Amino acid sequence: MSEIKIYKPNQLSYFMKNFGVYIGLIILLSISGILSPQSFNPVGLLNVAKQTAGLGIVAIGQTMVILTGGIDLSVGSIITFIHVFSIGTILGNAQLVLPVSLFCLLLGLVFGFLNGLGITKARISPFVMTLCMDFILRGLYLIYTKGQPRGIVPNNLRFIGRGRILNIVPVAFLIWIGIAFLFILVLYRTTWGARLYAVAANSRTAQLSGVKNDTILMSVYALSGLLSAVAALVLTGDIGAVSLGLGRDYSLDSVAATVIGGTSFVGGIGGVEGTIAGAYIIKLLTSLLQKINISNTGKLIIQGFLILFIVGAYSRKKN
Amino acid sequence: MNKLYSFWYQIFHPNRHSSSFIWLVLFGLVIIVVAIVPEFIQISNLSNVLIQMVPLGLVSLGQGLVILGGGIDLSVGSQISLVTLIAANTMTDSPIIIILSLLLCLGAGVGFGTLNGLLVQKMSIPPLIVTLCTSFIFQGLAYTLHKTTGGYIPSSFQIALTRSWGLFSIPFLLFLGFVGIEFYLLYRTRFGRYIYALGGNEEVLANAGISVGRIKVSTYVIAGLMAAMTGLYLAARVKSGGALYGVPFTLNSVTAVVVGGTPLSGGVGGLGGTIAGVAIVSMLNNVLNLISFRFNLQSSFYKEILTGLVLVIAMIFYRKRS
Repeated sequence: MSEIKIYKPNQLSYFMKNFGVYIGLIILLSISGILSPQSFNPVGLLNVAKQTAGLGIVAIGQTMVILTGGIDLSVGSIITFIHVFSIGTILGNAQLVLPVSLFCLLLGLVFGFLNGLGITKARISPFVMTLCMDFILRGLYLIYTKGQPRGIVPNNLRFIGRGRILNIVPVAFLIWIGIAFLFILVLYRTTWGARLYAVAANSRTAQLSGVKNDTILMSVYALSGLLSAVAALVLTGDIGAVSLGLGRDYSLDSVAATVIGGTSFVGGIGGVEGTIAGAYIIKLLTSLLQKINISNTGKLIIQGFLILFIVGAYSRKKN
Repeated sequence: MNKLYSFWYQIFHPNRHSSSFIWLVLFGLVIIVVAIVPEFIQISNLSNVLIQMVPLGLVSLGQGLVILGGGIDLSVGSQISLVTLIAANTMTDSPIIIILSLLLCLGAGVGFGTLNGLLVQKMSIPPLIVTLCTSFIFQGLAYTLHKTTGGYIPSSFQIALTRSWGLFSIPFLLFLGFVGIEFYLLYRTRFGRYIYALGGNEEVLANAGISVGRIKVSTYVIAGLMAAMTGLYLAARVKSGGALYGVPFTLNSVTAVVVGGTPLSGGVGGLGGTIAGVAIVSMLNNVLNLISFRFNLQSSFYKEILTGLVLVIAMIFYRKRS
């Protein structure tokens, strides 16, 4: 029974384990406040939150995948594919936004499902399967756009990325937080969530207890694909233009956000509540690095070391 | 004569990890390709294929050892890019500087490999995570050296590494040399046996009193060294360094090794299969070039799909039957 206690969010040890990342967030916020006091105010922080929305949504899916001991390296290409596909088919026509968006969500779900199918039925290891999917989708969107994407984003799609409720709270931020809370509830309050943790912690035991492991794993990868599609639409609305490089950073960024948020590669440890802060930390770090002018290269190096450090510290403790 | 090891038995009851089977697949592919694209068999194209095989072959030799030992190195691509940039940024026309720069590049490769190996061994982080992270670190370092492509590679260095006579060329002979060295290491020394044992069952190897860490780290060091070799050759061939030159080699090298019959769990397979895997992957790329030239398509777009599909199919083919 002790295994189940970990998932009940009412213990101090649970709090420290899953919300320790928020202490890190507060420290990073203080540093950013000292480094650039001019953007350290509610408006500036909400701006960062708006920029985080896309990453935050992808990272929710990535968190569930990593919870099961897998990894999804295809999210970057799924995002770019959905991005160029949605813009290319909507072509600025506001009436097409809803049907195309729904179709895009379905596409994301299918891509994720294919990942899950390869991983469970063909027993391909998750990172190889998703890495291959990443390459296949990249080839597909390059063929689709012929290397030169075009299209216009109509205003109603821009609203979900750019719009603000009462001119203050970004819509994208609300979508992100809404989905995050939905999945926190799903993970802790539904049988599906309990089964996911069971499969993640010990797949053999779960199977013997009557959980259909393959179904759970497939649904997790399908959800990761779906959430990538949601993120792609939000990001498309935000940047309002076509870019083949849109999804490039999201595979690593979402893994980093998840790991920083306290979800472990061992499987079964962590949850979405930490990932929210993890994603915010990544974007805050990015904007800080941009301010001191070592944006992209510095970010890659720092993220690499950060993941290594956190995963390393964790596996040492376990030993 | 034991029936299990007869030639015909292996054809009709293919052992999925025996390299003779993969070589048969390769020959079958060659026949199909020649039937579809007759220009493939021309001497000029064949020598091209052999030369194009070299960079992928060099990386895959290193990748093969790592995978055989039960690990994986996803950072070889960024290592290659970084080495091309180091070479292009340090070389001048003076022969002494060229030699020093060569040593620096090879040393860098050894350094990258040591870093990967030590992180895997000492921190007990899964190799996939370690090398994914170091690949981003190396990529970041490559971007700091040069945003895109550039630098200077002396002509003498280029000529020395790319000269060819008909079917034979310096790079191909170099590749054959490395194949010979690896054959010796893997099948004629104790170290080679230990690599197989490492992939088979690490615990047994440790209980037999062998220092597992040293063997594991050396596989990553060899992978780094081979990546540095590849980087040097690429820099010579293209006469510049580039932060993205190595990108295709990460997945392609894994594909070549897996197609060659070494599963990602390690311990089975080996050098013969890897060479056939390299040949298959580079041949498919070459055929794609020929076909897309004929139909006026952008071959690079299709290459990404092809690599992904080939790897998935190979993994399905070699999957563990439970």
